[in-house]
Amino acid sequence: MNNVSPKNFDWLMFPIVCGILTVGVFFVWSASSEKFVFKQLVWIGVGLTLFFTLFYFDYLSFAHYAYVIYACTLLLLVLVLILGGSVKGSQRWFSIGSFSVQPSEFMKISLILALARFLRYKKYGPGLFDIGVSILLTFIPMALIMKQPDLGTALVMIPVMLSILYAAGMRFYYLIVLIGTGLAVSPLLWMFVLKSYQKMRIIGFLWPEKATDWGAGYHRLQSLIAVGSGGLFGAGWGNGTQNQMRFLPERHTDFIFAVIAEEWGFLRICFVLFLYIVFITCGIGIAKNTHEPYGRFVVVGLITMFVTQIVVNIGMNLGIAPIVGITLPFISYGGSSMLTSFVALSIIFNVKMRSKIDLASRRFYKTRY
Amino acid sequence: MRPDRFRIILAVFILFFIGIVIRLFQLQIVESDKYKGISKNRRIATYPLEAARGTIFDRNGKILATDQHTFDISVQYKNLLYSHIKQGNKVVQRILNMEVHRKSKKSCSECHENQDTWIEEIASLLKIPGSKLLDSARQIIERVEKLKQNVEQKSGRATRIKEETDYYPIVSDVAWEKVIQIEINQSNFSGVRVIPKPKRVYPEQGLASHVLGYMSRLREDEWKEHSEEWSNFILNSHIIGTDTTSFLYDGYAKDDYIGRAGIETQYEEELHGLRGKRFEEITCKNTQVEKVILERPPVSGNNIHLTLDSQIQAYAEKSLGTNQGTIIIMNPWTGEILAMASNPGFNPNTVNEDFNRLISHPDKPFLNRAIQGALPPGSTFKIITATAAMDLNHIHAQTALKCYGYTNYKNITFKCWSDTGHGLVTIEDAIPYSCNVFFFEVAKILGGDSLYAWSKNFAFGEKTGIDLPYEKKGNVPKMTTVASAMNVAIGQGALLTTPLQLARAYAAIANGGFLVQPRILLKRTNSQGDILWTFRPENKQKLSVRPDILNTLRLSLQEVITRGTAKNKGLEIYKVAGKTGTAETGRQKDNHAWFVGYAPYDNPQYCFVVLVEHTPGHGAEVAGPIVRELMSYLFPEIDQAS
Repeated sequence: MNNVSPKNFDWLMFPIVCGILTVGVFFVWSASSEKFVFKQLVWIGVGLTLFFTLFYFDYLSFAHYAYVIYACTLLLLVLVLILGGSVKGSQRWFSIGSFSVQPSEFMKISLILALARFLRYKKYGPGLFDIGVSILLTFIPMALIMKQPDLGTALVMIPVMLSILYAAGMRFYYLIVLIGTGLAVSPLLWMFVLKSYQKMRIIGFLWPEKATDWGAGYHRLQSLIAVGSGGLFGAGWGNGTQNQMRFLPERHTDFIFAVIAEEWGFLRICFVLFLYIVFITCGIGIAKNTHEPYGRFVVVGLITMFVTQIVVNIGMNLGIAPIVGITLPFISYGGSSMLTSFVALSIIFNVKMRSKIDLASRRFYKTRY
Repeated sequence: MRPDRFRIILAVFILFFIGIVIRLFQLQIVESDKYKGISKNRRIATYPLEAARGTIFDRNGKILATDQHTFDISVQYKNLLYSHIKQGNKVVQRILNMEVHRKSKKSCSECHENQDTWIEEIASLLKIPGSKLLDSARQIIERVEKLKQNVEQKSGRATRIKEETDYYPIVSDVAWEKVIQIEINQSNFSGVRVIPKPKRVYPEQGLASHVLGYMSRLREDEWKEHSEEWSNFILNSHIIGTDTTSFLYDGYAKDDYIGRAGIETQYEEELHGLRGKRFEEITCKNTQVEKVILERPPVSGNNIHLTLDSQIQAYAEKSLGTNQGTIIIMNPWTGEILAMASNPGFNPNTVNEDFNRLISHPDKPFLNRAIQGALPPGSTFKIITATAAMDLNHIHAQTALKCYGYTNYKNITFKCWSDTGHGLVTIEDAIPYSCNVFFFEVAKILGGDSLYAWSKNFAFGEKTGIDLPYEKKGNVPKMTTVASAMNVAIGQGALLTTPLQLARAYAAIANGGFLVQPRILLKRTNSQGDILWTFRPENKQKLSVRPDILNTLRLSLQEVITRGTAKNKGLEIYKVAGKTGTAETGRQKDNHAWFVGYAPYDNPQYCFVVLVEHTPGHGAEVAGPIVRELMSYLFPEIDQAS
């Protein structure tokens, strides 16, 4: 572990994550059974191992291989579309034995690594050309993921791109133009890209009374009842009627927040939110204190990824965001999501632990910065 | 760079979280009572909305099979449980506990009183003994409690399962007047609900029963298999878009009916709809529905339109009468099956009551003899031998061979059916008079391999690929000796064909050498009547037969009627061309009588096969009158003119 000292380890952020993980494990237990808890613990174990192993590599070597990683993940995405065609339903899994991998999860990180690499030495901030290339880098994987179809993961990429561009010094004016153009183009997306069931879900979210897709309406209603009946103090762990009576679908994955809200109530759910806020503040702090541009862009991208997932997932649990199938980081049950979160966390820590090193000798100082 | 940008980013993020907290405050503090109300006093009842199975039509839109509404009387699970407390049948420990709870002062009187009156009410209304009702209730309770125990064992704590909120059918197929009684006096029938349930009916009774098939209950093992299959049903993943969605549409429920034969099996997936579900909130007293929380509408199955013409089918069945056998009528140009009769048959409406009698019946009434009977074709096969010999130029139309009534090969005597012999015969005499010796001699020249190859060209020994289940493929033996080839040449020996294969071979003669694909599906429509798929004649497989050979064969088949084995049967006026056959089974007076052909010969409209099994008579004398009757129905204008 060259240059890495335990002194630089983030001793606030790590316990916070452990706290969130603990809450997660207990509510996966409440919402499903011991079998899932055991599996979840195994995933956490694998994730932690990955977390510490990745410290060995200097994060700048990620910069070096950023485009290669990006291209490889892209290839995996194409493969999953071709090979996955034979199985029913939406295709985003690779099955290797009983172990299934979801390349779209890893694509998010690959994209952040590539975007940060592309934008790191733009002294005066990204110009129009740079913005164009960034959009291209983002939209290629997005299109592939939407084709799977996995609307949620694809949409996470837009805020990630915007925040990295913004952190890289893009003019505020451009940001407004970008968001404006995005809104103007979205009707095209509606007409040509979205599948009818996805449209139904968005209609169901905007005008619940018009929803003909009962599935989305059912999810939303059950989840609202769960959250609302939680009240100030909650029903107590393991006592939620919505949860225990199995009215709430996907309790241990996408709708675990509603379970927590029902059983823990307003006060304690605010504590969970507080943990997330501390986590995010720490992350942004790391980005701020890193003087090396690649590291700070990567951290900003990863933190934005976390925030988007948290906000959209909780939003759909509270009936204020369409149901798009996004997991709650470190809490929802699921291997791919857990591993991705740990890899992202590891990179953030990696940047933090190397940020105090005197960077004057590094090659990028000799170039343009 | 500009560190203030990070502050802005953080501020935006925290704004989102503030939004979340505000929403949480709204839901959990401000509106909490509303949701708590729903959740705590929630007595959710779920009951299935049955999906209509698709209708089966004939080609003219006449209904052959459809769903009729009947009514089930169903009772809420809770009320089933209470009936047991009253009767003192402690099948489960939990019921004992409930009894203790009911007697304690803590229990709410409204929730626990009059929950078991349904038994007497239903028993007196329908005039059936209450013990019978209790018995079915006990079976349901035992099943659900077992399931509950399994779930609780897995989770390790007391769990309420969805099955406890369901209604369970206690009496099925209840008459209208009784149903109205229940609906009017809803308050007397605590926890009772009338649930419409479709029942499969076949308005034409036994008509085309082998083609249509029938429905019967899923067996336990089948149900397990099916529910596994349906748990990954495609609609699930598309509605939710995530991966753990098995809870949505359940394809089959425990007591569901499934297609068992014919079209009902073949197009089960098309016909079968998706059952919907209604979630409703009910009051404590359980008599009235507070409100419907959610309704997942059922999806009706698709309709199937058959190529069958029920008029022609009825003619075919009438002509066949009580003879054991089959009649097929096919369009020789497209392969559309217009009629497929098989006798003995069954009535699909009552098949489940008669099942044991039918399945053990020696005449096998479930057998669709048109596609599942593999029999020696007898003399009807001679046209294949003739085609092979003429195509290989071993003989031509004028080649004459001598019939002395028998011929010898290596000390074995092969006899013609006529003891005196037919004298000098060409092909145009041999087919009409059905001379065996002519074909024995041809077989000697032809050899087994060529005959085998041509049998395969006419697709004997293979399934025709008609869209009906359990088709037999028959058998074309490898003919290693000349003697076996001689037997096959006249349709005997180890040769087995299905009537449908013969129909197809004769259709090829009639239509100029095209081997058509027999079909029974005309089109599929959805429940609104939009056409999903229509039959279009496909590229037919052309046999490499010279036109002059076909002409010779057609002439010969016409002469079968005018001067051959089927003369004086009154078939000339209908311009029938065809071939009779008497297939020997080796037992005395136990032949299969065949008549295969097409009509009218100058412009073939119908290709037909008539088979009568196990008859003492000969082909023409048994099958001839049947064909005559059939033709008089098919061509009524000719019939009247004569």
